[in-house]
Amino acid sequence: MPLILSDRENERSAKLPGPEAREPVLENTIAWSDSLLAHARELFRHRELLWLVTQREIKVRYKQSVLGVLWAILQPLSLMIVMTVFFSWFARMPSDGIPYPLFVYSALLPWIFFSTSLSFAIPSLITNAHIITKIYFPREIVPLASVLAALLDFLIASAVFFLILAYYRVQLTWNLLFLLPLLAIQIAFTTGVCLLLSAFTVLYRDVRHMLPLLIQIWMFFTPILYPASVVPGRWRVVYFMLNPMAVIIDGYRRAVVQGLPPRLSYIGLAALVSCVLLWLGYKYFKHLEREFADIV
Amino acid sequence: MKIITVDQVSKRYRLSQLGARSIREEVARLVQGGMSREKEEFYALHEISFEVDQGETLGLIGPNGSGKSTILKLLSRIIYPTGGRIVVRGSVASLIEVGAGFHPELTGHENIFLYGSIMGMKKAEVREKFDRIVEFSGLQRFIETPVKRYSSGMYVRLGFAVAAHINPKVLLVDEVLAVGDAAFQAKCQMRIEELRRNGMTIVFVSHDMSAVERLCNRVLFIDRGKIRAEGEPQSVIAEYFSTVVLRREADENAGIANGSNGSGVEIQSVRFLDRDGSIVDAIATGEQMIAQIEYNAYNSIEDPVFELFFYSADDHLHCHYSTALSGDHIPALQGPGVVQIECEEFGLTPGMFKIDALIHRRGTKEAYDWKPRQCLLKVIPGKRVRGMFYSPHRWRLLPSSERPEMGEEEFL
Repeated sequence: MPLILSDRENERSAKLPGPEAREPVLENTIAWSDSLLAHARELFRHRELLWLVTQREIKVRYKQSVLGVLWAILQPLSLMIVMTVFFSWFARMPSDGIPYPLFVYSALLPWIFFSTSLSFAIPSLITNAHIITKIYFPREIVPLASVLAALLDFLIASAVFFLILAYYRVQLTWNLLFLLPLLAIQIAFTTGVCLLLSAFTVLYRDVRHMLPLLIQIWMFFTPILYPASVVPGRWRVVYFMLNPMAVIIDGYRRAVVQGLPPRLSYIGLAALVSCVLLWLGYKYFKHLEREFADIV
Repeated sequence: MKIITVDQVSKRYRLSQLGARSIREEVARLVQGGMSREKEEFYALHEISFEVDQGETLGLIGPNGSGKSTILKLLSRIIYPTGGRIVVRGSVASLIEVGAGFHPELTGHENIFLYGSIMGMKKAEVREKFDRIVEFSGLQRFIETPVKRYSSGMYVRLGFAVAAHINPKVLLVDEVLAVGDAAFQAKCQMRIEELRRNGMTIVFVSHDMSAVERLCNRVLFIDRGKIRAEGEPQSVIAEYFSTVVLRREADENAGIANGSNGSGVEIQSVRFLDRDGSIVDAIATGEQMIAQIEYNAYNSIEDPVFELFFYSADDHLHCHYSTALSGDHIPALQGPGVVQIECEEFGLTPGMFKIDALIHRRGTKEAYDWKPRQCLLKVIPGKRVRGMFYSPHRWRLLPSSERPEMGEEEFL
């Protein structure tokens, strides 16, 4: 099915000397145009592929392992136990009066979703270089599949979390409904970061080495092991404004365990930042995409 | 209808940017070079233009690194042109390194769906064609095995089986026919011919000139990023051979051939003549062939043997003449001269042939002079022939007087 779209390519044409005085025109190709809407439509046409690549990510991750998908549950569960022992029993970390296992687990789950997404999605274009240089498809499918796979892990692990909630007899409130917008904001933010950095990694491999450090530092700037209330008052504004993940994770904890609504003004800001980041990330990704096969 | 239009397309690479950069290199470059632009640029393609019609099979030939595969990658949207205009009216599928989309940990079954989807097939479509794909690959027994346990041959067979069942408007084929065993290759060629007959537009890159000649309607000869020749397969292939193959093979063999360094005789040229004695570059099958080897003997050359070899495009020796084998005696040589060989009815079938000429001393392997790929001979259709070669012959009906007595054993 031919798709003929005009694109807004000609603005840059004047700067280029020599035979490339005219910008390239590829008429059946929306992939090279600058219209994000067209890209999104192209992505939608490839939704089956996105789902298959996601399935591949999951299958591959748990192939040849005895416990398989159980790892998605075991990983946060064991971390939660270790953290409870060290931070709650030994170090006496405050937890806003919530049982520490609940306290840490409610933040750990969304955080693992975020960090797994980053650590798989950001190098994904490089690890899939052999496909990118051989076959055409919308390249954002590769990092998006990593995010989706991490999301599935998150949903599986969350099921267990509700069992723990039942064990501690936590009263669930209507504020639980805030989970949906929180999750949406987190997905937008994560996807934005992943698109931006995965494309950037193709140009500069440094990102790959920086990544584990980045994730670790980011974790300390997010209220996972400690409550947001320990951040000194005058710093708290900056703390929440600069780190949407802090607001989101704090929001999860409040909505599920404490039965409180999230801090709405901060959440609004985080939502705004996430949307802008997603838009920017996608734009940047699609712009660099033209060069992926040449330099990856 | 034009399916593909390529208009003034260039692809430029900056040599220093071929690999990914690290931030440190980037900073170092900023410090050293300031804002100066990199000068080391390389044009993989330079302002190329061509068109492909609906149902046409276009062949791309040329030496390695000439830009053939770059064209395919541009057409399949893997890479982005530096300049120009590419219009492809319809879906494109490419057989560039089939199986590249496979994941080693997944089974053949799972990979068929994944690869099919990467190549643009709908899930339902793959499901519908699944049995045919498996049958084509011949891997029924191993279809639930992870492909990391496949041999490289099995890998490619599965890849081609999937690729051969996509139904795009335009199919790009890059040298995939050179994989698998002979039987599987034949199967692939048959499949491509079938797709071609069904009206699919195909762009075909190959070094196998006989396949190009058989499959393509039109051929582009690409050399150093430009189109050197374009047109009907036979003539473009001839052009390709005379410029590139001869040049390269003569270079390659220069070290082996010992030339005239001290041996005392040099082959100056090999030429072909027609009946009237004028020089020709083509001879028709079954017609008279006259070849002349011009030499110059600086010293007295004892017991020389002259030989002439005819190699096909794919380097098979099709014909060989030698004065030693025919029993012709050439006396000692001194000074310049010409040796002529005549063949009343030439047996080679149409095609391009590369000619080697050799003078050596009788009874030894020591060459006085050897000129590999000295020239080209084009054999054009003459006497109608089916099979590998033409041989002089005649048919007649025997009169009864010449009929031999039928022996009893005839009926046993």
